[in-house]
Amino acid sequence: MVNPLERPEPKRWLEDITHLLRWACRLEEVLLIAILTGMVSMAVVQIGMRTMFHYGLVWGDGLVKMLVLWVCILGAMVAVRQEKHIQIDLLARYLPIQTRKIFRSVVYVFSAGICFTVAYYGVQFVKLEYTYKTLAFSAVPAWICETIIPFGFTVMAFRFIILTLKQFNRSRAN
Amino acid sequence: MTPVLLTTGLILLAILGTPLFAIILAVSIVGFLYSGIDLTILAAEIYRISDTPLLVALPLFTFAGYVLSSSRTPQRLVFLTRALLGWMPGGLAIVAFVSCALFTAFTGASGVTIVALGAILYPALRQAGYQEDFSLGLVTSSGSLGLLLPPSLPLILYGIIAQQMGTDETLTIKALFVAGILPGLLMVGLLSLWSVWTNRHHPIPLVTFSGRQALRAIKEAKWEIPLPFFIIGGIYGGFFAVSEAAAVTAMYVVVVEVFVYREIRFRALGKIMSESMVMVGSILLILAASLAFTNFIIDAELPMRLFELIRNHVTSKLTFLICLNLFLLCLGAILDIFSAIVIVVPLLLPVAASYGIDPIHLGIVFLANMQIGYITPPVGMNLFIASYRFHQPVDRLYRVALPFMIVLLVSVLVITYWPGLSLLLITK
Repeated sequence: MVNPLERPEPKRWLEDITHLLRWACRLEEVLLIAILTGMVSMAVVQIGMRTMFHYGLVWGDGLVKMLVLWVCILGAMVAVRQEKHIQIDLLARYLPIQTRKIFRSVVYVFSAGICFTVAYYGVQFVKLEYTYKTLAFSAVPAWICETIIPFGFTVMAFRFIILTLKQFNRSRAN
Repeated sequence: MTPVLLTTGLILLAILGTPLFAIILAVSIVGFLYSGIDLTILAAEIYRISDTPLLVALPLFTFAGYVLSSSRTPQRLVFLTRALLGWMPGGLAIVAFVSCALFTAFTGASGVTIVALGAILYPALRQAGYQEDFSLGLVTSSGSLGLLLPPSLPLILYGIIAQQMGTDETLTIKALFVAGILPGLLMVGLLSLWSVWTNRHHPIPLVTFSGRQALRAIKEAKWEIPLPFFIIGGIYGGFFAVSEAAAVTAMYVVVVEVFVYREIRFRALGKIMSESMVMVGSILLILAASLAFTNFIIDAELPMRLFELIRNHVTSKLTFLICLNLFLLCLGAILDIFSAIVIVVPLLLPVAASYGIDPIHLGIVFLANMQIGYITPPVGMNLFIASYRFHQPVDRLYRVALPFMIVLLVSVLVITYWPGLSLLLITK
């Protein structure tokens, strides 16, 4: 007989979330690949069209520039997850492990705060652009392209918080 | 009082390992708050990433570099240069310098040169009879050689930043590419001469040139040899713009390594793509953050104030250049090249221009100094990568890289005080 109480509800809920997060991470990487492919093919198509038909796609240039912004934010989001951001590691190297962990959490909390600030003002910026109906390229409204900024910084902020929590988890494990 | 506290706090946070983009954003936030500007500008400045011309070249060349280093290109490159140049006195050392320089030009000095090429060159040098200290020093210091040669990423980034600053129209990426060639060759040349001289008491047996070997090497690398000619020829022949050259290079490299040489499996390509874009993301985010920062420093007329401050102490161009070298060497020792370009160039460029220094020349001087930063103790990145790769204590690498560093310093001095070397080939 299977006892329904054997598998407590909250744990499954947590599992689902982990599962979902893992998919989100994979999605990030797939998006990065797609954008890079887009940038390369767009540029090659432009050269091809120019040499063969002596004209290019007017919106192609704008699209590629927008893709650069997206690669920037998406790549940076993954870089936080993989702790690959560029930093000066002048002092931390010489500190004992426990102290290093404390300082690292301070650093991450600070970074999370900065990211939240940018995210908050990013939302204001997107709202502003929505009311002014600015166009990014062709007929694409700018605010749609810009939403990646508050979105990305929110994700980064949460990731910094997770990294902070991990510091404590790791120190307990040690 | 408060500014001092804030600055100290931020510097402390930076050396404790806060990601640099967060530090730069924090400085900009403080600056904007201080000048009473609404912080919505932060997002607007970050959005300017999508309005910066040529920037697309950065992800595309980075990706191409990642693909090249994931295949067997390093092996073919060493084999080829060895077959062509190995017969000269000091042959293998010269082979090492030339192949490292070429490889770094394509991959950007991200340490991959030491990992990919050093691993082949170090045992080869030892086998040929070079001393251990010399060989270690050589592979460590060659890891950043070639930064001045096209299409190196730092050159492109400097060009983009300088153009954003609204310098005169002669400063183009094209011009920078040309400007770096002679100084880059000077570095390779001086290092080669020094290698021959320092090994004069340990004669290394000469290898005779073999036409058959050379032909085999050329045949093996026949798909990669056209690459540099094709990029430089394509750009200067007016066939395509720098960003288009980057796209074509990326496309070509994928086709060659995945479908012709079949050294990268199609499935592995996805991983290479996302990995390279993570690195691009971390560089671009610093750039994005610094767009806000640059806006703030220009608004606050910081370069002008800095110039006035320096002018009181430094009157001649020569003294300024000496101070510049010292400053950049220290900077290179603590900051990585991309962050240094993005953060310091906006401040430095107007000041240097006031002393009558050509922005193109400044760029070459800047990068040449930064290149030495890679092997400057205590935190030069190449020292750590070499220490990890060759299982040597870092302090040993400090010692063995020192003679190479001195040779590079000599070339930096030549590059700094002889602007003609950088500007000779440019037709204005």
